Amino acid sequence: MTFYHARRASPWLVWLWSASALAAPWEFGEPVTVSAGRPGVFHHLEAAGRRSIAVSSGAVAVVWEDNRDGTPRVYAAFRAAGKSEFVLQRLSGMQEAYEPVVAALPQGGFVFGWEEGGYVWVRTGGLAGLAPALRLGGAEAAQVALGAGELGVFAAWAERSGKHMAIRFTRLKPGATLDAEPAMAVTAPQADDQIYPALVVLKSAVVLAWEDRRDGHTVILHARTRDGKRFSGAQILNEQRERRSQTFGRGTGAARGALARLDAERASAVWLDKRDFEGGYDVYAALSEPGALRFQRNERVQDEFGNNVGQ
Amino acid sequence: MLRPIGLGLLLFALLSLPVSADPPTGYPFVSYDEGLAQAKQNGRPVFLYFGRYGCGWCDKTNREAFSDKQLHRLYSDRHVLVYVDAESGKRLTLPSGERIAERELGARMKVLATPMFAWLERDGREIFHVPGIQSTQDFLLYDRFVSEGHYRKENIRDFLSRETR
Repeated sequence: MTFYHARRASPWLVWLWSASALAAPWEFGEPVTVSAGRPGVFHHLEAAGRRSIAVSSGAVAVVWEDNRDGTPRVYAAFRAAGKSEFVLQRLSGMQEAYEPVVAALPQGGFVFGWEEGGYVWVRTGGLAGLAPALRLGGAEAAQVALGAGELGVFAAWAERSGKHMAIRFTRLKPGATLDAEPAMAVTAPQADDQIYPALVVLKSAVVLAWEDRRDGHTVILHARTRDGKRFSGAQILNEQRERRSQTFGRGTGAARGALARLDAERASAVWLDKRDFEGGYDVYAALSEPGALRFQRNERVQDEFGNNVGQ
Repeated sequence: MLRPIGLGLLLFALLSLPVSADPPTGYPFVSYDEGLAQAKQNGRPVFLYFGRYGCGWCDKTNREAFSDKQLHRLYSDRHVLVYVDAESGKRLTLPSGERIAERELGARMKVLATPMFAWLERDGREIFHVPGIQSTQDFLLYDRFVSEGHYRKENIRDFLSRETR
């Protein structure tokens, strides 16, 4: 929410709360300007899984998209501990690029993902520079999510499969040159779109959540893999209280799930939920059981004032 | 025993009817970018339908209001019709030049529920918007408010108050 509000309330600047505040999320320091804006330049922190910031080896990395040179491109800014200035790097190439994400690599440094020219791309790097970019998948793709942990480094994205978008998943192999294993489907082919994946790596499982329209409305589904080769059956994350009614049509909506690591074996999930049809989307959350095969009951985590916020 | 089974089958059949919550069929709806480009060329106002995939009230409005032949003719002839999906990541370009996702447009327009209908000037500036289910009669009045230029002299509330007196 902090980043969401910061993005919407301040379109001219991308703000970063001080690194010391990251460990104490309810005691923010003074906002820090990462990238100053100017009229006509629009900064966006939009990202699958909402991973726009990461900390690794004493450095913080922030990623975003802006049109400073007239074309939407994605950028990363790095700041080393004890330094006051950010070092800027452009992540994308020559085409329009959107929705960058970042994750900290266990061995130090960062891995970045973004959409450019209708495909998704990844690359590693840090304060010392960036490695060459690698394209994931072979078809039209968007909305890449990244995660790293004890089990490795992983990416998930939405890729065209016939008429619809489907979630694809792969293990990345960082090294002198970033490589990736062949991509795999997370579920059997579906009759509608799967979009906006979120990903988190636990000690013994990789957990995915995504928007799924197979039932004629959008639900958040989740699944996990322990070996990176087979996923558990997809289950609904956002509880369905009432379905197929005049009010709700085929069912309520949900959007933009995000996953985070609660501890070594548990994940937390947050998403936008339209179960209260009279207000905007509410923010709901659920905590997983150990191993993240299942999530516990949904909880609304915003207050009543959130009902007055559009969408 | 047959009666409950028959009722059950009927109920199942009704619930299984397609509820697309897409734009109403037979209308020339286009994307936001294409719609604003068309509006600049032909000078027509934009009718923006903000829906949600699977939205029951959108489907009800489609079936009960947009099935009207007069409405179909007026809106197809007098407006550029744009459909935006409340949960879509499809990108559009605002008149300012900013590229955002369709979902973000809803946040910018303070959309709290779907459907939401907005009328825009050909340069993209909002004339007015109304949330929720609307009847054929409502849409006919909105069409007059925009097409006859009443919006330049009074707000929609005053116009409706006068016209429905």
